[in-house]
Amino acid sequence: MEFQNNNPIFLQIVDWICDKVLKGELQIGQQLPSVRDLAVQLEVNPNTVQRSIERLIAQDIVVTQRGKGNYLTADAFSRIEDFRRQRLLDEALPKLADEMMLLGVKPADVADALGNIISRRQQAITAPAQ
Amino acid sequence: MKQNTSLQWSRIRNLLCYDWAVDKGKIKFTLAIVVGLYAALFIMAYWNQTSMGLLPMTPQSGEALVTFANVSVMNYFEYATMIVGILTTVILHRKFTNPQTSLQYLALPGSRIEKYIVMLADFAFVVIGMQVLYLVVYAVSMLICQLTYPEFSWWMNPWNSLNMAKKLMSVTESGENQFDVIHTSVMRLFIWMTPVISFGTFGLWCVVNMLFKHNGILKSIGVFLLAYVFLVIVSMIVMVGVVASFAEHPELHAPALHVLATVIKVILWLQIPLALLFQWIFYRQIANRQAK
Amino acid sequence: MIELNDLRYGYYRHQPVLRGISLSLPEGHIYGLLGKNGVGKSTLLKILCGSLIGEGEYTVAGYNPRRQHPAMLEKIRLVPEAEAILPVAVEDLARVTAPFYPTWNQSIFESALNEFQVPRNKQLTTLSLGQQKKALISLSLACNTPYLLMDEPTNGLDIPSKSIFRRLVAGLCDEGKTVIISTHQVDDIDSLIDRIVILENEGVLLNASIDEVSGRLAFRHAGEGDEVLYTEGSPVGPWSVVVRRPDEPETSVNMKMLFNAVISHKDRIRTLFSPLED
Repeated sequence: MEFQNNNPIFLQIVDWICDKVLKGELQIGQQLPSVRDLAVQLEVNPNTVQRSIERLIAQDIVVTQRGKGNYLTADAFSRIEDFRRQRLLDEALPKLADEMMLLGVKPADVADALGNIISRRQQAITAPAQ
Repeated sequence: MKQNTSLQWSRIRNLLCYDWAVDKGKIKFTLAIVVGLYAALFIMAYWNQTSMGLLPMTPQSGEALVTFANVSVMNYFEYATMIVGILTTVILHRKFTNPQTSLQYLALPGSRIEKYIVMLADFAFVVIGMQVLYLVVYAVSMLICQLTYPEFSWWMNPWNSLNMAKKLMSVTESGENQFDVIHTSVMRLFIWMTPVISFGTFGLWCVVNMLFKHNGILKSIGVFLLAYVFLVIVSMIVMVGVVASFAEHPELHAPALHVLATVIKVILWLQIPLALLFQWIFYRQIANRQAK
Repeated sequence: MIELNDLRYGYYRHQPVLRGISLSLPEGHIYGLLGKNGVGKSTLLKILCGSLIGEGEYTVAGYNPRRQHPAMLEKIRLVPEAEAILPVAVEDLARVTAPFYPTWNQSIFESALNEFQVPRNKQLTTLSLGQQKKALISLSLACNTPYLLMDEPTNGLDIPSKSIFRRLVAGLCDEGKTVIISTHQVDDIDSLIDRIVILENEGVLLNASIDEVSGRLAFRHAGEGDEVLYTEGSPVGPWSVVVRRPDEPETSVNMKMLFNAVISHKDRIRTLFSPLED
């Protein structure tokens, strides 16, 4: 995993795990890989992974079962979805708004462009062979 | 703290295995030294024989062997201790003053005393190989000599060299060729001084190493040779002075030679413990304060 | 636990390298040991494993390293920056090294050699510099000692090998282990370390966890009213190390910039990271 954006690494790992849940690569109720395995896979310090897991536990996305490991909670998906939607509204959209104001772009133009981008992405996902 | 000085055979064995595995050049090294030493001794024996005329030559078969045995006895301590000194220099250098090897070796789990023992075993492997071969050659030549030239067997015993000097001294009283006698006496005494010189050299080398840190094997050997030459010159001057004063005061010969002989014999017997002591001091020095 | 109290050392009299280092390094962390050339990072590592004798009080796992106690030496392994390359194959070296270490783990050795793709039966002297380094790192990782000290381990490794190195070290670490990596190539290990120690001849400039750093400092464009500690140009404008405002989100730590900020604002960093501000 490449750590590039300006968030602390442990938060990038939180996002990485959440992305996997949203994409369906990790299922509700499924056991997470062990801290050590995640550390090896991501080439990071196990303590950093542990901190990410603790953050996920604090957000009720993950629960620790003693002696067994870490599991995704039943409502992990919806929690992540809520949290990420909120973040889109709180962080990404204000930045976009600033940029639009700077360039004088109207919301309607952006909405059209966004619609185009999304439909192209969806086509790419449903027909990856082409 | 007390445990640190304890010995554990399993750790010594581990250190020996490690040492043996990483230092296989040792066998080649020893063989080269042994062969080189004997070639040198043989050449020196011939050269000594003819140039100094210390022995009456008899143009008979077996003469070369007698000559070899004789001269090698006289020169044994000189050559052997010097070569041992250089060998020790090389071995210690390789193991302890090369910062990379010494770092690896010293960081291995083992107490200092255990590492010292393994270092000595290393040293002993080379030196004992050499000594054993020497003793075999010496015993065989002595046996042949005893059988074929019984009149030379007196020379074969190294302890008789001092009596030889005494005997030559007594000739001085009759007023014969004084220069020859003094010259020969100096040579005889000098041979007895060689262990003192050699181990003195080693001691001096250790001192120089402690005072001036340096890397580089040539420098190490250079320091050794300089110390050796220095001590040879000093002891030559002392010996000539002693013998010359004996010549002037014949009444001092017997007691003085007796004292000298005792001192030299004591040092001779102490040379091994002295060598070990010097090595120990040196090892401690290296183990405590390595060069960068 | 490694504890140093006023550790001093000099290779020559009147030329001290370390002038009073006090540090406490609990286990369970991967420490990044940073410092300019010549501040004594390698010296410190050699002192910790008993190969050099320092002055002052210092202990490793409760032992005094200067005693070179075997029970301590078998708990610590140093990967020096330059190691003597011996004319043996790495598997033979492993055979004679393993008996020294009760913690030796043959499967770590095997998997490290496999991942690094180092030939195990070729004499080390015939391998390339990078291969030699990888072979010796594999050997030291397999010793699996509670204390592992590495001096510039990623020097000479190619890019995939650096990644393998991080994976191996990440997999090796647990609560009982102490790993100290001394390096100038911070980018190679910045995701791996969770504590950072910045050294100077006179002492320790910083000994903090990455969390503590990202809690106190922010790495971003500087704005009005920011206390800027260090700034450097970047393609998207000047990028700065600033004292973090209590309400702003944490940023990721840029080791290089942190290092420069610490070097240029020693006293400010000391007060920022003093225990009183916790």
